[in-house]
Parts: sequence; C-alpha cells; structure tokens
Amino acid sequence: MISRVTYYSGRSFFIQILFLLGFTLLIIKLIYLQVFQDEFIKEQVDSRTILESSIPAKRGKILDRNDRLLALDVKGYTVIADLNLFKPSQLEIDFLADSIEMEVNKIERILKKKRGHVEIIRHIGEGKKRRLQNMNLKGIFFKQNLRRSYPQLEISSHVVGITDIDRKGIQGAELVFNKMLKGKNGVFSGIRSPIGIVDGERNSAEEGLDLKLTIDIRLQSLAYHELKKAVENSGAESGSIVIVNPKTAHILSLTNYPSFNPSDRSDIKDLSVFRNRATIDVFEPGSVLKPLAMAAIVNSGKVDRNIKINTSPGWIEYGGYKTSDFRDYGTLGLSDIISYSSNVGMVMLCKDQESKYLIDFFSNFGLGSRPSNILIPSREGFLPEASSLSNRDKVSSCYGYGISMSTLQIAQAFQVFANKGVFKELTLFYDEELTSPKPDFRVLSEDTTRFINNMMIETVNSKSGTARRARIEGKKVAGKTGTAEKKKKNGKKSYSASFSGFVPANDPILLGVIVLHGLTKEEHSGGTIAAPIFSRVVGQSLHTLESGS
Amino acid sequence: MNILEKYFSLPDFKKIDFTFLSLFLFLTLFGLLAVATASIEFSDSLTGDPLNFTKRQFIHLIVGLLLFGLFLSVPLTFWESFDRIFLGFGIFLLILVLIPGIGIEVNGAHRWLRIGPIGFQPSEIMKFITIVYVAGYSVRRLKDLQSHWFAFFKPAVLVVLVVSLILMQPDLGTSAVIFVTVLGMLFVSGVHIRQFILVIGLGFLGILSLIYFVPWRWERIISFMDPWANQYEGGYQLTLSLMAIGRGDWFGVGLGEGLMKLGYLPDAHTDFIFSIVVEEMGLFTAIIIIATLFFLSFRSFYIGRKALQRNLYFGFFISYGVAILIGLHTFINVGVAIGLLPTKGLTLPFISYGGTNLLIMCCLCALVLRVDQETKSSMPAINIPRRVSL
Repeated sequence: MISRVTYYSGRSFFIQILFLLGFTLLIIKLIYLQVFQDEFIKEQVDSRTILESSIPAKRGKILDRNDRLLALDVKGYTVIADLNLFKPSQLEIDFLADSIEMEVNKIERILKKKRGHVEIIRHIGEGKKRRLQNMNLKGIFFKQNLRRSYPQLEISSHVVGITDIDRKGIQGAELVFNKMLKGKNGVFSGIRSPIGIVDGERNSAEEGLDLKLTIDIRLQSLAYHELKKAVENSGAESGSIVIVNPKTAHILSLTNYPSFNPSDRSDIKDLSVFRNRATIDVFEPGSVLKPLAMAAIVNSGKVDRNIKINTSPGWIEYGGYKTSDFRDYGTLGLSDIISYSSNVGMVMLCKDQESKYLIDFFSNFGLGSRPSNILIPSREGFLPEASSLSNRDKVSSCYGYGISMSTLQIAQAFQVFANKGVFKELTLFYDEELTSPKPDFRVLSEDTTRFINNMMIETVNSKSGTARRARIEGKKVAGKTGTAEKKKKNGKKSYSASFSGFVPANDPILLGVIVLHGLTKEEHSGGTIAAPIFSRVVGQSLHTLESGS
Repeated sequence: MNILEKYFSLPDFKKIDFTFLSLFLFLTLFGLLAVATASIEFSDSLTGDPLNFTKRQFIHLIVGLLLFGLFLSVPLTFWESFDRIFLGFGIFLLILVLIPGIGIEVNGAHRWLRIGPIGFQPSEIMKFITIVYVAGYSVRRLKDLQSHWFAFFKPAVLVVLVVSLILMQPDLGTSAVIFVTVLGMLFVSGVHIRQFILVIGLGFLGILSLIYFVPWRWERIISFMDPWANQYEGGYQLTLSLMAIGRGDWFGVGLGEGLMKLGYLPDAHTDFIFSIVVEEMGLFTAIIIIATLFFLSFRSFYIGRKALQRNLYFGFFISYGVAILIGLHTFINVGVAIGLLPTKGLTLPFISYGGTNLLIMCCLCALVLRVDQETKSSMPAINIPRRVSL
C-alpha cells in the first residue's frame, strides 16, 4: 500500500510539474509575441487589411469659344480578375474574350500569373460591362475609372492635344494646362476583409478646372474638311490653315492635315501626324512676305508712293545673282509689284534699303521669334542677323527667301495689316489670365497700313492680280499669294503654295492663312492652290459667323 | 436493491466543491460569449442568421448542464461496473463512423454520426469512455499493473485499437490527446518505468511516422517553423491567428470589433477561437482564461488526490484522467494558435463551438465533482502519509 502511494504522489507531482511548465510556456510565448513581435505582426496585419485606393479626379473639360466640348472625361470600367477566385473554364474564357472583344490568347497570357489581382482590360463602356456582369463570373471585379474622350476626333487634335495612359497631358493644351486640368486625386483608405470593406474614410477627388480655347469648332471643322480635300486633290504632302480674329488676336482655327484621332492612337505608325505643323514646320515663305517688305520700303520714306519702276526685261542681276519674274511685266507702280508679285520690282526697291532697318522691321512683325503666347510647342523660324546679310541675301529676303517661318507666324505678321498697323500677340486661350501676351504696339502707321492693304485688295480684285481666286462673293478680300520652291534630295522640285488674306478688307473680321507643302504637280502656285481654299474656308466661316449657326 | 436506487443518488449540494463548480460555470458561460462573437460572420454566411451558431451552442450548453446534473447524480460504481460495455459500445460507434453511407463525410474526414436531426462525434464520446475504462481497468488490475507487463499490455492494445480507429477518420489531434491521456493515467497507476518508456517511445515513433508520411501533415510542421515564409500556403491559418493576437494587444480591440473573424481566419469559432478572444478581449483576458482552464485541471488533480487519500482509486484515476485531458487540450489548442506547436485541429475545452465536445466536457466535470462528493461522504482513511520518501 505504501509503495503505491509512493508512485501516485511522486508521479502525479511530476505530471503536475509538466503541466505547470506547459502553462508557463504558453504565457511566455504570448508575452513574447506581444512584446517583441508586436510591431512586425502589426505590419503584416496592415499589409493584409489596409486598403488604399486612389479616387481619380475628373479632368477638366476643354471647350471651344462657344463652350462646345473638345475634350472630356467619360466613365468606364477596368476589369480586374482575382486569380484566387477566378478559375474559368475554357468556355468562360471564350465568352469573356467575346464580350470584351479581346483576343483569347491575350487573356490567357494575363491569366497565367499565379495569384493576386490582374487587370484584364483597362477601359470598357457600360454596355460591355453589363454583358460581362450578366455572365456572373466568380472573381471578376469592375473598377470604375475615367477615360479622356475627344468628340471632335482628328479635327482639333493638334490644338487640344492628348493625354497618356495615366491621363497626363502630353501634347497641345492638355500638356500646357495639365496642372489646371488634372485636378487632385482623392483617396479612399479603409480596412478590408475577405467579405468586404469593413471601415473606411473617403477624401473626395477635386475635379480639374475647365479650359476654354479661342478656337471656334465650327470654323475648325470647316477648315479641316476643306484642307483635307485640298491636300488629297492637289497631291500635296501636308497643309495647314490658321484663321484668326485680327482685332482680338484670337485664333479661331488652327488645322493641319494629316491629323490623327486622339481617341484611337494604337495603329499610328507615322509619328509625323502628331506634329502640329502650323506652329512647328517652318519654311521659306516666298512671295507671301512681299507685303511686309513693301511696308518696310514705304515706311522708310525713301521711295515716292507714286514711283513707276521698269521691270523689263523681266529679270535683274544683283549681288551676283539673277532674279526673274514669271514674265516681263514692263513698267509697274508699287501696287502692281504686289498684285503681279514681281520679284524684279522688289529687288530694285530693296537694294537701297539698309539691312538692319529691314531685319528690325521684319522682327517687329514677329519673324524670328517664338509665338510664345500660344504656349503650345512652336518654332521661331529663321531671321538672319543684319550684320551677316549680303546684298544678295538682303534683296532675296524682300521676296521671302533666306527667311523661314511657320504658318502661324505668317498669320501673326498679317494680323498687323488687318488690325490697322497694331501688333497684337496671337492667343489660343480664351481666359486672358492664363496667358501673358506682350503689350500691343504699333508697327505701322494707319496710313501706311491702308496703303499696303489697298495693294493686297488689288492683288485679289484686279483683273490681272495673282490672287483672283481668293475672292469671296459679296465681300472685299485683301491678300497675297506665295509660291516657294524647295529642292528635294532627289533633285525633284517641290513647292509650297500659300495665301494669306483678310476680309472684309476695310474692317477685317477674319484673317486666314492657307499653306500647302510638297506640291509636285503642274498646279502648285499659291494663286491656283491656296487662294481657292481661302475663298471657300473663310467665305463659309464668315457666313457661319454672320448667320450665327 | 432497486436498480434506480443503486445507480441514482442526488448529490449533497452543501458538500459540493464550489471552486471547481464556479470555474466550470465561468468557462462554459465565457465560452458562449466567445462563440457568440467569433461565429457571427461564419454563421451569417452559412445560415443567414449571425446568431444561429450561438443559439445552437446555447442549446448545447443547456443540454450539457442537464447531463452535468444527471451525471452528478450517478454513483461512480455505475461507471466502474459497466466500463467494458461502454468501451465496446464506443468501439462499435467508431467502426460505424468509418462505414461509408453511415458516417458523414465532411471535407474528406468521417467524424460524424447522425441520429435523426442530431449529429455527434463518436471520437469525442470516446474521450469519456476511454477515461472511464482505463480508470476501471487500473483499479481492477492495480497489482498486476505494477508487476506484470502483460497487465499493461492489455489496455495498451485496446487503446491502440481505439486510437487507430480515430486515426482512420482521420483525426490525429483527438488520437494524440486520448493516447497521451491514457499514458498519463497508466503512468500514475504505477507501471514499470521501463515498460512505460518503451510504450511512449513506440507511440511517439508511430505518431512521427504518421506525420512524416502524410504530406500535408509534414507541410504543416514545416510551415509552423516559419509561418511568415509561406503565409499563403502552409502558414496561412497560423499567420492569421498571430495577426489576430497581434491586433489584440493587452486589452483587445473590443468585443465584437474583431477583424480576423470576418472571413480571414478559418475556423475562427472552433479551433482558433482563442485568437479571436485575444483580438477582441486582449491578452489579459486570454491569460485569465488559460489560467482558469489550468486551474480547473489542477483542481481536478487535487480532487483526485483527496480521493486517493480515502482509497477511492476509481475516483482518483477518473480525476487524473480528466485533469490530464483538460490540461492537454488547452495546451495543444493554445500552443497551436500562438505558433508554439504545429497546426493541429483541436478544440479549446468549454470555449470552442461544438456540441459533442461541450457535452462531453460537462459530463467529465460532473464525473470529477461526483468523485469529490463521494470522497467527502466516505470514511476518512487512517494515517496515509501524503508523501513518502523512498
């Protein structure tokens, strides 16, 4: 009996000691977890449970001067698959591919990832989303998002610009005013669990501000379609049209062809379509510059306004270089020199002008400097230094060679003629506070301006003027053609045809510049190619503005 | 003597061990609260009623308390006389559960039997039966156990049979708990230490090989070593359990405010209810609960020792068996939840959701209190020293 009790008490004591040890072990481990591993565990908890998602801010709209939509955000849905839940059959993959119009093997490639959330497609509309929802696939989620939409498609894409996949402006007005347009993303921070969001706080997004352009989309559209037609018919490589209100210096239309559809850029291979040619492509303007040179000559006071100049025999040699006219025009007045576009006349008038005076005069019209107030990317072109100008360079600058400028710069220069001699910097943005134009300044006296304008009226309206086809029924047009020659690498000649003019001539409402590049056919002069476009585009624009529709 | 008189006698409530009783009642009531908060989400998603599981557990508890009263009124001689019949009945149930079409399969395991609307787990009942049988056997063969190794061999074979049947369900956790409980009871019954070590060695070898050759069990062991390294595979449950504990801090995030039960932690209301208790009520509460469970175990040891002093060997073995079972269950369950032991499905006594488990715990506690009753009403044994030096 005694021996039994010995076993019992000794061994039971041993077991109880073991249990006490076990109990102590549990407590020690618990306290260890609490004291030493707490921080690590809490990090793990946070990484599993904290949900932070950004709420995209609605980007501001881009509007034309009459508040028509040029760019806006539209709601869409990103399709996300939770690979832990989404285990589709082949049939379901086929259905999925069909309903979102995506290739099957593309989806399969995405689904190859092992776990987690993957994005299947970035942006689908309400219709596709509903179709997908009706399939009731487990593990497929929709995340609402916003996509930039451009209802005017390729018509205004260079001016309005584009945004990249992260909705950041990368071209045009989208780029220039990205900060203002983009607004401020909101954030949702909360705690999630496998059954849903448990708790959360939402900091709403701040919508971006709207941006209003000076563009009138009706004119823009007119110009684009006419330009497109003209480029295709004439065999030109490209073309640009700029239409301006000369009094306000508002750009009403800035168009290029070829252009691109900003909403669908996936298939574009030729990147040159993205180039805003009207502000970036610079070229030797040719005769379209003659009114400027004539203004300089008249303004210098060295020439009698009624002078007659004998341009026979239709060519002249000066500075070791022969300059020719189209034909022998005989004796011409100043006005005739412009309306016939006589190079010989310009050379004879120009050779007595000082280089510095000429260059300074041109530079007052914006030549050689960037049209900075339009803010979108542009080039300053080339205006030579007076000191480096040879006699030959000097006289050729008077008929538009040895100088380069963009279509927009031509518009800027002619704005002076259309605004009674006062230079007003062109702008693309309706709200003046957004831009910082140079103060307006007088470049030409009203009298001289009227004198030159009359020459341009003659150019369009006289029987023998080069720009007869720029006429608009019922309105008096003033303007000047230009045809510039450019040797291509393969030796073939290529021409730029231009026309710059305004209407009505005595109190202009619209100023238009038409330029087509890369003409190689028989018909390539400003008078036959560019002037008719002006007539149609500006004529219809005038009609649109007047009828108010 | 009338059979009813022989096998039914109301306890004397004045002599009841109030310490044991209050620990027991505290744990069952706390368990109901813990189940109520931990099961909300699972219950809702499964039945549409967030309190469905709580209501069911409440019914379990009512039935458990009725059984508690009943078993408290049954003299120990009843169990001592019929222990072999119970064992046979238990083994019959264990075989029944393995027969396809009779045993109910859940997640690849056959653990359930169903009679009408009532489902129950034979392996849980087996905990009760094994303790009663081994206690009865030990009393009957006390002398032989201490001298003949065959006496030790016979219950060992029977227990191995029981454990093997449970392993076939498969349920390694319950098998291990029953096996170790029996070992503990035989250990205090005075078997030779060499035989004992031999059996322990063989037993653990068996368990180890079972772990090693079943791939998912081995994976659990591996992932338990470094749960964070594979927290989406083997370490999944453990890392979430640790996160729940981490979120709890000393005082918890508040009752009902737990996050991990919301679809994160699987088995939040059963095997991992401890983690939810820590998360919502904090480490302090959790330590109190563990301490209470161990206190109950130690109180049971104490009652057993008192029974031994009155030469009530059956009561002594019963109390020790229950004490070992409760302590072991607690240690394994909490150890698993805090990453001290490899992940193994085992309930926390009184707290985890589960009908059979709660009922059996009530019955076992009633048994221990009955031991206390009978000890107090027996004649004091004369002059038995509590410790004897060797």
